[in-house]
Amino acid sequence: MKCNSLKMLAGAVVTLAGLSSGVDDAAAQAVVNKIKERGYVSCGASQGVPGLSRPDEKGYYRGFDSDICRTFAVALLGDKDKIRYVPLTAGQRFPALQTGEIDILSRTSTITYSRDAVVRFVWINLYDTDGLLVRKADKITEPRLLDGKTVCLQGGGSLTEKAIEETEEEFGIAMKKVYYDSTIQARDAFFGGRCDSYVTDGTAAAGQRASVAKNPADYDIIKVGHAAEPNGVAVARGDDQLFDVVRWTMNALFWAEANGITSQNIDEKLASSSAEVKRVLGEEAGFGKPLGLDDKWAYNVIKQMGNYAEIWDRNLGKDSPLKVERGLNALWSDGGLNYPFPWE
Amino acid sequence: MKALSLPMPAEALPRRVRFTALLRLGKLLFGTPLNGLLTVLFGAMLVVTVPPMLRWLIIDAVLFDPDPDACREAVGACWSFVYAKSGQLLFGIYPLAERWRPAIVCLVILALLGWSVRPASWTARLLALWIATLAFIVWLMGGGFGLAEVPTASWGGLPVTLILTVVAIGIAFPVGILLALARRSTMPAVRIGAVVLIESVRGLPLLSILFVASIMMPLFLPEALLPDKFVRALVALTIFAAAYLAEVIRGGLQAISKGQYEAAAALGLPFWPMQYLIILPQAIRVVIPALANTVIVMIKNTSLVLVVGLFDLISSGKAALADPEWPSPAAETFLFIGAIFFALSFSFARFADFLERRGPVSH
Repeated sequence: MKCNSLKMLAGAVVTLAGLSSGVDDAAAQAVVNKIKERGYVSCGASQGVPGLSRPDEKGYYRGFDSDICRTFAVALLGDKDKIRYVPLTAGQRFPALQTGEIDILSRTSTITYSRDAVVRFVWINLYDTDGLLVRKADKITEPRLLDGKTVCLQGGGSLTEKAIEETEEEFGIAMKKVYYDSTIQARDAFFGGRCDSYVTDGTAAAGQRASVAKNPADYDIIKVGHAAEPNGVAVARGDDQLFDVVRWTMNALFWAEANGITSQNIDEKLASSSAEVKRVLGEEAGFGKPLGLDDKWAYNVIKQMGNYAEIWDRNLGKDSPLKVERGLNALWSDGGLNYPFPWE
Repeated sequence: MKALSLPMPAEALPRRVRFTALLRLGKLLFGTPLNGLLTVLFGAMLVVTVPPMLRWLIIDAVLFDPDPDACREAVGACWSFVYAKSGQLLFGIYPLAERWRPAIVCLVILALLGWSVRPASWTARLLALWIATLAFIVWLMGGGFGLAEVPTASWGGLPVTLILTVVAIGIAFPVGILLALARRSTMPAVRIGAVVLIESVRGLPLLSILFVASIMMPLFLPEALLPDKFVRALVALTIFAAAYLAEVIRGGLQAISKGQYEAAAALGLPFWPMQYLIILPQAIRVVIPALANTVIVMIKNTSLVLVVGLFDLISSGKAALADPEWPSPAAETFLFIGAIFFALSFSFARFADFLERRGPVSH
């Protein structure tokens, strides 16, 4: 998610791409029609990030980002498996959108000024923060106690490095930093006992605790730094229809969670709830018309994929080995940053 | 073994032999103070390193237990991960129900490679056989004509590595020969063209050629004219290999004495028959070690396609390691992948060795 060495190159490519992207506008107008014609959504995926998107033994993509993409397949085509994932490196993801190789990008992409000028970010699907892995046995429960402790981290001016500096300043402590070329080396050094702590993205910290640690319960994750990295879902520029479909599908996920509607109870809710629920879930004719979708599209999305909380829990949260806290990704009513737009 | 031939009484032979052999071994290991010191040092190193390595590799290792927690508890290697994920490691993200197809492809390629190393099968028929096989492989991997369609984005693992290696080198070799001949041509346009191509490809890192092919090309070519991502990577690898092979072959051409050319010309042989019958057979044999070197480097270079999002063996390994249910035994996974690469490279090295021994260089 953060600075790896390919990103510099990717930046250069993206800038170049920006110069030529005007050409694609007219062609991109009809992506929704193209998707309906060919019968599947083409979605950008990673080559394997735990909890976010990774192909399993059967070649089936699993993870939060992959499931978010399936919701769009349900909205557009009514079937979560009418989707093809295109594995992309960090450098390829934006050119892939521009050239139409993929329709939608849902692959841990931080929204930035220069990227948003090249593709069109629709919505933040995940706020990532920086996490510090520590051993429970060391009894480090808050950043203050890290004074004089060693921390393994990736060097070279990464955002995690900044988070450590902020923490030192905030608590008036000094940590001994041990720098590595890559976050993987830093991780292995930490689990090998070289350092008292190890800092990386919050979801990655949880993923590594689950997959690398001999006993995940021996480790804690402490939140450090103030940067929230907004990871977004993106489409190509110049296609308002697909933009709307993606935006309102995301909205349906948050709205369903806020109203307590899950894939399990959706039919009961539909029978017993307010006029708004009935309308959004497709009881009212013409609800899907503004987006060019089936009236039952939101119902299908929640029924097949669940609401935002279900997608989170299954891939990153309590039902997964990663056990990532919702944190900023909770609804605003639970102390997070997410909330649905009104359906009026 | 000379000690065996010493004349001695028959009944004393076994003990004497054992004794002499021991004596010779002792002399070999401790003959001089330096030898003695080295023997002790290396012996100590083996004693210190080998037992823990064996313990990690085999004795304490988890071999087939399908439970990920068994690996978390074990102190040894986690081979059960490699075993449980073998389908994913070998075939990447190829759809599970269709995995028999890449499996057949791998077997066919390996069998045909095995068949092709026999001198008896070096006929024009072999070339036709390869072309037919490649068409069969493309159909089997990609589908169509009755098979479910599988886009190249879903190809992965060993078949990708094998196809990239075989096709890239298979095409690069004749192209390399042509480039080498062109570079020695007396026609300026041909010569300069070859020099520019070879030098510009050799002057660029393979990584950047792959980047241009996979990321830049889609931006300046319209979608209809753009070849598939897999094909683009394949072309990039082929051009790269051809430039290097051309220089190796040119080295061989320069080793052929002028008399050979003159003799061929005196026989009235035109250019192409002269190259085909007289010059190239000798030139190529001279540079077999360097050719083998280039080919082995290319086998391993195919793993660089992971930077353009193709699931070769190494990308498949990384994807498998991203499973949060399992601890990620990176060392074991990469040992497994390394073993495959070693088997491929070593087999080719043996083949090159066999070619060298086949006969004396006939000048």
